Amino acid sequence: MTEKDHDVSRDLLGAPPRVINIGLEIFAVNLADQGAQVAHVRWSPPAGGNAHLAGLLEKLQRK
Amino acid sequence: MQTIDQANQEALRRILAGDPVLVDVVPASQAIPDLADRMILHAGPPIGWDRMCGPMRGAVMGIAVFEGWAKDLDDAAKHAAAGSFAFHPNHHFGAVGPMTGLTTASQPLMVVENKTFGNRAYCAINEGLGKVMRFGGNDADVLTRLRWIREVLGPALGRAIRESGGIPLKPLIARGLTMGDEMHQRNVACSSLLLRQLAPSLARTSKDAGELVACLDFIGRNDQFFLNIAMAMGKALADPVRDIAASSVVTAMSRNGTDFGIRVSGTGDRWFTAPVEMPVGIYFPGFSEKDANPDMGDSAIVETVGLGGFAMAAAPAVVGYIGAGRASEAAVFTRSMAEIAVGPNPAWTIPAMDFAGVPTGIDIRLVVETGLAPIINTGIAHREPGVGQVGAGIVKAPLRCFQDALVAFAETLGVE
Repeated sequence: MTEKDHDVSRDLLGAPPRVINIGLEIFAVNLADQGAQVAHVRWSPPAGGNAHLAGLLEKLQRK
Repeated sequence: MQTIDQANQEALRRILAGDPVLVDVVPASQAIPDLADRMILHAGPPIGWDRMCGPMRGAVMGIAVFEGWAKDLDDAAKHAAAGSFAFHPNHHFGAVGPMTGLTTASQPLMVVENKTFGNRAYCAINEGLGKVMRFGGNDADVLTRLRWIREVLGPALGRAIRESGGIPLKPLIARGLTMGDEMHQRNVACSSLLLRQLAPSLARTSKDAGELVACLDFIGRNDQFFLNIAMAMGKALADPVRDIAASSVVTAMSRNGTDFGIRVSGTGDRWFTAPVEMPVGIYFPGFSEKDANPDMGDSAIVETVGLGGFAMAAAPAVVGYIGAGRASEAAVFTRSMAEIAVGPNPAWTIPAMDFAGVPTGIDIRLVVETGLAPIINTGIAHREPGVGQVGAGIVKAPLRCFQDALVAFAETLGVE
């Protein structure tokens, strides 16, 4: 571990959490309610997880 | 053969290249020669009397009396149930209509011509708010107003528009967007701008001072007067996008109060339908969601060309009117609709978003992939015939339409 890595680790554990949340928004909402700095990234599986439709979309990318 | 992306860029190019101009008001029988006696065009995908919702039935009963096909509302209902009337979608005849959207032979229709492509689209004249036929109203007041529109306002508007040489709509909409309109549930600015432009021609071509005052007063008191013009304009812009091979861009979204339907460029004139959803919104005093009819009308043609819910950021005031949250959240709607659109329209920009263009050209691939359904701003009709409008809100297009359309679209390209 370099000195720089060590400083980063210390900041991570010693400073307030700064969170990037991906997917389920409720996690971001709960953290924000407790005062955490949080950025939410909206994400869901393509086609809501429907394998047939996701497969069609993938094949259509080549068209 | 071009790729899907190339085909969609061509679809976007055609929408952006359109030059819609309000050129006339003429009787429907003249605008649509195929519109026969006892033929009723309605909003949404095809539907028969047996599956029509309450307000659609109420409007059918009223229009049958208006056209002289029935002696009263009960008689009209009997005729409708007996199959005396032929029902067809407006969209099959180059027309659109808000809410129930009925079009019949003697009604005056506003004519919008897309000068770039030479096609025309039609829509009836807006009747105002409250108890009106497009929301299922059908009493004596509603029919009297419709007769006045047919006999006085329609001809007067036709004379004025012809005398003016036509009203170019693209710059009018551009200005309306900077003045707080989104052209679906807020048309205050464009209605006013139109009246300002048309008033001198109305005065010059008027045959009767009393009628002139009545026309000016009717338009001036109706904040939604421009909606029907925006709809005809949307249809005039969207029709040249039909039948582009390999394009996954939506060419129509429409509802008949029972089914929601979409058409996609690459799959031709086929409808993809699913049950309509219930709008979420704000109700007039004395009404609640218990009174509401599900989503209805051809008016989603404005969202199809990037206005309405897609341009919500231009109209923060409408967010409160339709109960869609805080005014500061208006841009969230527009930004999310940009995720399912082919590109922005540089001619129609939104000041509050640093003059970003409205998201234009709905790509069914993006809708299915993201799960983001098009947002539509809408009026809400009472579920029973004869009552009228009870509120306004927003509604999402059912994802199933887009999923079914994607499967059919893939088949056209040999993908299964």
